[in-house]
Amino acid sequence: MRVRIVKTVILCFTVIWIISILLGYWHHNPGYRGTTRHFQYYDLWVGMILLTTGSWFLIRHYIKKKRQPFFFNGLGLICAFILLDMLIVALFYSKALPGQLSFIGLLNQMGYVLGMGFFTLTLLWISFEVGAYPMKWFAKEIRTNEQPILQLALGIMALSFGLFLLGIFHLLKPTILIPLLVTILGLNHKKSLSSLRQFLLSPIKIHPKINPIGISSLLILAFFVSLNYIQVLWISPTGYDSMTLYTKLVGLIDDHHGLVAGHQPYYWTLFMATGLTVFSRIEVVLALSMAGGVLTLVAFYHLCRRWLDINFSLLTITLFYSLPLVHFQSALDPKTDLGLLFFLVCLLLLFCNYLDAYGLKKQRSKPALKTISNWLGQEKILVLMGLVAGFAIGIKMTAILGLLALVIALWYTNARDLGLLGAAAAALFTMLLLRLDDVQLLRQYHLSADEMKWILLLTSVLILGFMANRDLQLFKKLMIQTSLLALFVLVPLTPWFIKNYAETNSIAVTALLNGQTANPKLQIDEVERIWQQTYQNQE
Amino acid sequence: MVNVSHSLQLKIFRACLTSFFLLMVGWNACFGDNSATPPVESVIIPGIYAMPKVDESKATTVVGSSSSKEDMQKFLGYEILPVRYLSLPYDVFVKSNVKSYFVDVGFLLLLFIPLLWVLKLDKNPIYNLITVALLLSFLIISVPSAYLSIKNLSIAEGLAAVQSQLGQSSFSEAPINHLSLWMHKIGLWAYQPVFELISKVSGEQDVFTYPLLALLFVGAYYLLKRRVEEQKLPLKSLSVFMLSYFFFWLLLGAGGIWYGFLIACVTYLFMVKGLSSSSDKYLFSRTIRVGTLLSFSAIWIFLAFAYRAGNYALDLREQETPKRILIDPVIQYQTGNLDAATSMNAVFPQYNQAIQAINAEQESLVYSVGTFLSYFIRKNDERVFSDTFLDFFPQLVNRFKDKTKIMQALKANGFRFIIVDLQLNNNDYTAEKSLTKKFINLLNSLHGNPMIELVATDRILEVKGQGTRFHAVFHDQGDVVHFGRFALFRIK
Repeated sequence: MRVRIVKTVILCFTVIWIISILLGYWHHNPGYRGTTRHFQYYDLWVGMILLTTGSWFLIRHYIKKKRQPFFFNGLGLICAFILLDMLIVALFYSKALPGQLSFIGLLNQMGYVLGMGFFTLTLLWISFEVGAYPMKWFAKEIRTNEQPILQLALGIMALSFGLFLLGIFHLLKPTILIPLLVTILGLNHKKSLSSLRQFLLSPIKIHPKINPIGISSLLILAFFVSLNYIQVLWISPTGYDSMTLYTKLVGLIDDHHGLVAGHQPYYWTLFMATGLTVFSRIEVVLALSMAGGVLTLVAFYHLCRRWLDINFSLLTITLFYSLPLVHFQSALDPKTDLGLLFFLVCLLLLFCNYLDAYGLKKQRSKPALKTISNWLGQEKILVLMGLVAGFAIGIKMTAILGLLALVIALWYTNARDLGLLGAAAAALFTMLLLRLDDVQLLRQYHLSADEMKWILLLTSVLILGFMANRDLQLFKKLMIQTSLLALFVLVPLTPWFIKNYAETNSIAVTALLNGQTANPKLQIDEVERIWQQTYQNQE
Repeated sequence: MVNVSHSLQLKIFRACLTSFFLLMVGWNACFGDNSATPPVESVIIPGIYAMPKVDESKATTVVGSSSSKEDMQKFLGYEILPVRYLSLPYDVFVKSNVKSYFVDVGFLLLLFIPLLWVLKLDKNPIYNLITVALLLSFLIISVPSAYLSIKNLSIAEGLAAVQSQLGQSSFSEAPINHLSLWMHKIGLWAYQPVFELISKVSGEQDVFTYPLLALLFVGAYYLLKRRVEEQKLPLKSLSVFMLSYFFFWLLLGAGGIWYGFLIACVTYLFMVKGLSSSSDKYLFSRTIRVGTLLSFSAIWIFLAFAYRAGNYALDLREQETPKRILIDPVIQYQTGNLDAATSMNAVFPQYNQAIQAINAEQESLVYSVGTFLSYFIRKNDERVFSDTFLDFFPQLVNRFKDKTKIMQALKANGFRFIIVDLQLNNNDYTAEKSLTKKFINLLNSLHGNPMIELVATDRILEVKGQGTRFHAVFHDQGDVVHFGRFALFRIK
């Protein structure tokens, strides 16, 4: 009886909830109403449905025959992308600018898109090859199917760090970068060529369980990615933030051939700047920014595959990529957030690998820790998590949210409730101590923040003390792991702190984080003094 | 370990909550400082633009610099402090604080994630009821506060506005609109006592919100723990990670969804996982759940594409617009129909004239109030002083009090150019319209100022009755035909 009442209550609540959210969304988003009422692309949707059906029958045919179609490889994907691109452009012209598209025009567009794609993919390929070196050390700790995307992430990290070092000495010039990048490929040319061949020609295995949900998701995804890619390629960024900060910074890096004074750490911007320095094309910079979103899709797909089948995984990443927020950052206002998101998803992938290893380690007996390298070897995945988290913070300071959450999840994994509560109290204390809430100027609203800081410290000490009393070994282990994580978070950030210290001569947190820009600075008293000097002298 | 019964646990929980609330009331009475700081009186430069009329009773006290409130906190909202945080998930997902598409993350997550907490039956169903109660409280706070905050209305005014809107059409003419208005009406009735209660312990500042949020985190963890009890460790740890991440975003992100981009990404995994789960503990069968997921996903993808095809217009009336899934000059440049210069001029009209003037004098400083133009300025890292939210300009006005002297002061300090974002006041979401006031003061300082001359603008005016069109800024010269985005002035 009690269960029936509860079920009825839940049912009623479900109806109320769905109605409230949908009506709320309808009320606050008039844009959707207008655009759906005047929707012009029904033919495209019919085409997509036909394409899904056709692909489904084709794939079923190949699955039944247990054969692999010859065009299912990287090269085939590029050709499919070109076809899709031409279709989108032709469709756009037929509706918006009828009669203005010539065949030559279409070929022009295709060449432009392919050229920029070639430059962008070349930089990603080089990054992938750079990542092969550190990946050798970490490979055993990571699932095989997740290694390529994490290798690329490691490559981008290593390359960006190298660019930072070159940037200090103002060596970010084509005459230096081009030979350097070619040398990187040449050093291990057999492996580089083999990975290129694999990417272009190795068959992509058709998953036997793929169904129309997966196929339609994949097609929609391909459509959205193509659309974003076509739109982002232009001779200038068009979005406000991009023009006033992110791409502007790229331009300044190129002008100075090196690091630019001031700003929060900007690893991803340094990486994007290679597009301008090496190829002298702003389009490659914009495409690299957009590539952050595509790489996120790949990393997120691998994360989904840990819990979902192929069809729902594809649906999940398609839902994410369909968001206007993602489209805005991909095609209209390219920034660094998608690059940051890629590294945060990689951090989660690494955390999942840590959890896999955690499950196995629990069953193994502990080997003796004779040397530091022996000990570090056991905690490789934590070292890597620290480096990736540090690099993510080096892209944008907001990644610190991910680091705080990671520490809490780490303590939870090992010590459940007590670990979570102790770590959460400590993380909150740290947040208030470092005045992280003041970055957005929110501290001024919270009058109890200072008192709460000490209450949280006390709570944290009490909980962790209780935990240590109960299981000192576990407590020690967690303290060491957290310290190790924190230490390696600092590795990618330290160069920026040094740079900012050199600019400001101050060890204040804001100075170390922001440095000092070269922009003019105005003080009202000084402005008045100069005005008086100038105009009173004239009088 | 003492085995405490569930009813006793609930009693303890309730007692804790009550004592916590009383403690906070006491604390607020003793240590809280809610006294209003009088706003700094600023000099008003007379000119053609009148200061906006603001209902001072609704304007909140500006704590700290006004630009911080105008710039960073518009995404968080300007409600009473705890409501800002408690209603944030709703505000972000339905886009009630800032309506732009660049913060649009769809409705699917808000629709399904809370439902998944409720629809799976707990061993002790009382926890399902607690979750229902918490989510209903969330709705009671969020739905009306979102409605009121857009127009900065009080509850009584909100009720009157709903009533008036209801009277404008019959149910048969606009059924969804009527349903929506009824929902807001019921929400406002329910919100009234809650608002009065919260107002007693809070305001623009308080001592209450941080402890409350910390307590909510612990409560949410407890419910999450029960929810994922049967899952394996990796999923449990990942959900703890996401809960913590969400919590820190709530505290630190000021409502900017891109600061919590991971939420808009990884949470989809939980949504799809929950809805496609084969567990039989859900109220609905897997077929119904998967069917719902697929239907709503299809609807969403169609809506997202249609919205994009309409160039994210807020209010679409023309049939032409939804055809443009790409930007004309961009694609025309790619196909070779336009050369680079024409294409640039089509996207940024008149920018070239402005940039040529600025780049011709490479040592002169530029005073920039917003605008994208600094991207094109050579040595912009050394020459451009950025006063995007007009933090510094009011200081000039207060110090010099005269528009000629202001320009003299800027000139004496090396400035030769002033760039103005003509749509700056569109970013003002504050009740006190502080940014609009500063912007009007700036425009009045520029209008009729003998020390400056207009170099370039993309604003187009038309002489009344004559049909002659020309580029100018101030309305007294003609009617605005094209509003434009920027104006560049040279200090003579």
